[in-house]
Amino acid sequence: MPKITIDGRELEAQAGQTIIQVATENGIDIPHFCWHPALTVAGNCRMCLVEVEKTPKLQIACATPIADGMVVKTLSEPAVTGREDVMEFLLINHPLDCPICDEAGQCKLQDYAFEHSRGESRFVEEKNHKDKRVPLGPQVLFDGERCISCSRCIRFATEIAEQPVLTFVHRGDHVTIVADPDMGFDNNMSMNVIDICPVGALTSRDFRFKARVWDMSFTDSICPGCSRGCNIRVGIRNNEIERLEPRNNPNVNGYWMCDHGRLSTYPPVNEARIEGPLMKDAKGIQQHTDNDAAARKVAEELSKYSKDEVLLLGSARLPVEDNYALLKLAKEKFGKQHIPFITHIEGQDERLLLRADKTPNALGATLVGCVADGHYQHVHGENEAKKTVLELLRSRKIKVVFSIAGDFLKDPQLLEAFEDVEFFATCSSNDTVTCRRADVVFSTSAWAERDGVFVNFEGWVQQLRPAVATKYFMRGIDHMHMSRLDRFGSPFDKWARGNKRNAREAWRMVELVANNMGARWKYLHTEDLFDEIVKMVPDFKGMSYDSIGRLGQPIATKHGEVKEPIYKEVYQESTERIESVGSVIL
Amino acid sequence: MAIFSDAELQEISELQKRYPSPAAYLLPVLWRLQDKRGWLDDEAMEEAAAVCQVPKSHVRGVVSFYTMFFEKPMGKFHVQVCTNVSCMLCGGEELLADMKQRLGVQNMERTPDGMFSIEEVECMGACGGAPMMAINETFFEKISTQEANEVIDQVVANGNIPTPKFVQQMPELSEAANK
Amino acid sequence: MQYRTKYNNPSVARKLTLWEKLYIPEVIRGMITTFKHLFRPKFTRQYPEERWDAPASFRGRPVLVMEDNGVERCVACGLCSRVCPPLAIEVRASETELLKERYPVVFEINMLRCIFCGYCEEVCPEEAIIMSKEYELSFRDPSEGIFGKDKLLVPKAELQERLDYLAKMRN
Repeated sequence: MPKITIDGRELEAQAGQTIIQVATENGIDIPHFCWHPALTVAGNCRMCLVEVEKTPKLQIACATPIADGMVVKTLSEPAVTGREDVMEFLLINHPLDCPICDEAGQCKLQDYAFEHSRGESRFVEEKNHKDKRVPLGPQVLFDGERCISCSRCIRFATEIAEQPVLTFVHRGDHVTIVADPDMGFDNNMSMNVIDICPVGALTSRDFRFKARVWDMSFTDSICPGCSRGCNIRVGIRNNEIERLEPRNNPNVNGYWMCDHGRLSTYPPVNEARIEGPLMKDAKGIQQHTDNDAAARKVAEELSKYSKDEVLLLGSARLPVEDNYALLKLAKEKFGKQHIPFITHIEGQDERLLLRADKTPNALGATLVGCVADGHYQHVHGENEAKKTVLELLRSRKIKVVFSIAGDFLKDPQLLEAFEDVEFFATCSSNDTVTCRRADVVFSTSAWAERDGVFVNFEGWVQQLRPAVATKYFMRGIDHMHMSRLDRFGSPFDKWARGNKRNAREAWRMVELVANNMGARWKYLHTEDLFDEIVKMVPDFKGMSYDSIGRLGQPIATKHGEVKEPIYKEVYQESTERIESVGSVIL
Repeated sequence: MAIFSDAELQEISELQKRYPSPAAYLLPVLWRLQDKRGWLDDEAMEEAAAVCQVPKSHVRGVVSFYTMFFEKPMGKFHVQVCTNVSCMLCGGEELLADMKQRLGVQNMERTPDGMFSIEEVECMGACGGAPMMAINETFFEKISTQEANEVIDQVVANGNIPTPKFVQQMPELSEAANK
Repeated sequence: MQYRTKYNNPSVARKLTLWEKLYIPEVIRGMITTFKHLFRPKFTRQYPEERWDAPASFRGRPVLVMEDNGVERCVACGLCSRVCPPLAIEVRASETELLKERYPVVFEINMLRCIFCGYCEEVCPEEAIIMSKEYELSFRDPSEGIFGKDKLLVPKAELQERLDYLAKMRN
């Protein structure tokens, strides 16, 4: 193996690597704009200039392959001056409208202007003016003046999204980027270009001007948009989700996430929530109640009916813990070995991330013993489970239904089949059709308000972390991420108070119901349930919340293609950097 | 595949022998297309992209870079006036102003009848014959504003480009230079 | 227990002379000083009737500069809110069709919290929030102390003195 020396450190490298790859893997930061580990090398920003001994000129680290015995200096005088000069060039036509720009605070150009720039410009002429606020596609807006022509977005469109509609036009001093006028940059991966843009040239129509980066806290979590389970970071300001962004996990989603996950999963957390548990009064009108009264009512109704008249519905939208709790109730009180859950298959699997199965935890629910509604093959045989939920309901035997999540009554067939159901209790976080039909509604946490474990379709066990605080959370005490306002704001600031909802995890409701039926469960945290699952279900053998960590763990048994985990996360984009820097400043 | 005839496509495939990849003969393909249509519209770029096996966006990038490819319709007779140093000193700018006035259009504009368009160009390599004006590919060198107007009159009258009066004599290249 | 100071501690306290013990001369000396001031110019201001015109360097309540076209200068960058030591400022941005692209939908300063440090003015990249000459702030209710854009926006013409002062001091 060739050895190279970077800044006096002798490093092992693999033949064919470039200098910047070796440096990044070993924690040496070489500034760069156009280089991205998932894209081809363009070498056009010239920011990664380093001095290589025995070469007459500075070399760009991103496109220089290593050779045995190479000596690289990133901090020598010529290298530093070279980078300062490049910065001066890049800033010549940059508008420096940081106060307006959304990228400010996570901008590479801004960071490098502090770290690698002389701090002054010799350019006194008028800057180039180009088009601003040009829509490249339905989600992405382009600001020509801020663009530093790194071509990351063009390469992303061509190589990753495979929709080569972006290009440089009028190359030269009036270079700018356009999308094909007929098609536009319109695909389900388009918003990733906003993340990889090193400056604020590409902005999200959805997030535009909603919050400043330094006002937000970022919590690592999992996207609930489909069974892929992309690793994400949830950006919170004033206890409200402002945006989601992908987090690098080479085993699951790489650096990307799809627009579907980015745009459709967070509004239900912010909007259309139910305010608390609801129960129908004698007139059939839903009235506010409390969890205990609701649970007593549900327990009472469940006890009235025989085993065959009761349908307990799990959910692939909830973590394994909640499904396990409901299954435990089914086993202990009704002697059922399996409970069904309703699947949500829509469209086709996309080439990259998005799956047809729009529930995040179908495999996880199956692993703890729930049975998918007539879709999943690896189902343990039991007659009842093999019938679909619709068939069961149509047989008119079911008199009482208790569901832990999901808006399945959107389906008119199911709604019609629900006519004979005498009592229906559900857990819900949003005001939905299902919710309105129910006799008892428990107000439960949305995905961003709780912890729990999802298993993606490939068998990666991943962890949700609470990002939004409910009434039952104190950010400081519960180790949630805190922004500056969360940390220093007082409850008297109306802009630091946020809206904390009255919602708890669904398994707590199941526990309340079970305990009202005579069980004696005592779980304090979601983690307690997972620890029990680990003992009961062989697939999760040896796991714990700590071992799952940020990057997940594959299940012990084989389901689909499970690769060995690679616990290497060398490349971090600037928001991750700013958070670490930010904690020092605060 | 609507613009090129089979014979032309055959001719283009001959080009493959001279270039390493289809993308490399994009420029000759674009020239042929512009010759046929007068400018490069969306359909033409699509054709070029298909022939050269590159994304259409790439073709657009190339077309926008070269000023001699037109992204909008130009006149049948494209009048180009040089205003680089030699021509400027010998009255190129006056010539350009006069032509603009005569044709009633501004730089890179086309007359309403679609006959003429005007372009202020950089050096066309005829500094010895400054000031110069070119109509399509015919050079008119050492030309006064009056002569230029006469040329336009002839074009309007006859519908074709007259033979230039003054033709620069190229010095014979010596044997040594040829080698 | 009584603390002993040098005045009540007999071992330290100075013995008074007879002249000092007489007491009357010291009274007269004091009265002379008092009467002298009767004829000097007065510094007292008859406050509500007679008001103080602060110099340009005075840091009164922060205000937002309103341009001549009636639009605020502010682009809602949020730096004032970030730098504000007592977290008194809240800014919420949105998009506008104007050239500046971004404007504050909500701009609120909690004047009960403001400590008149002037950091917001110093950090502002647009010179949009500046310290005015106003120093009269009183509220009947804490909620009155939160000033929105309606109270914060002041026409540029009224703030010209401070703007000139800032321009002078910045370079």
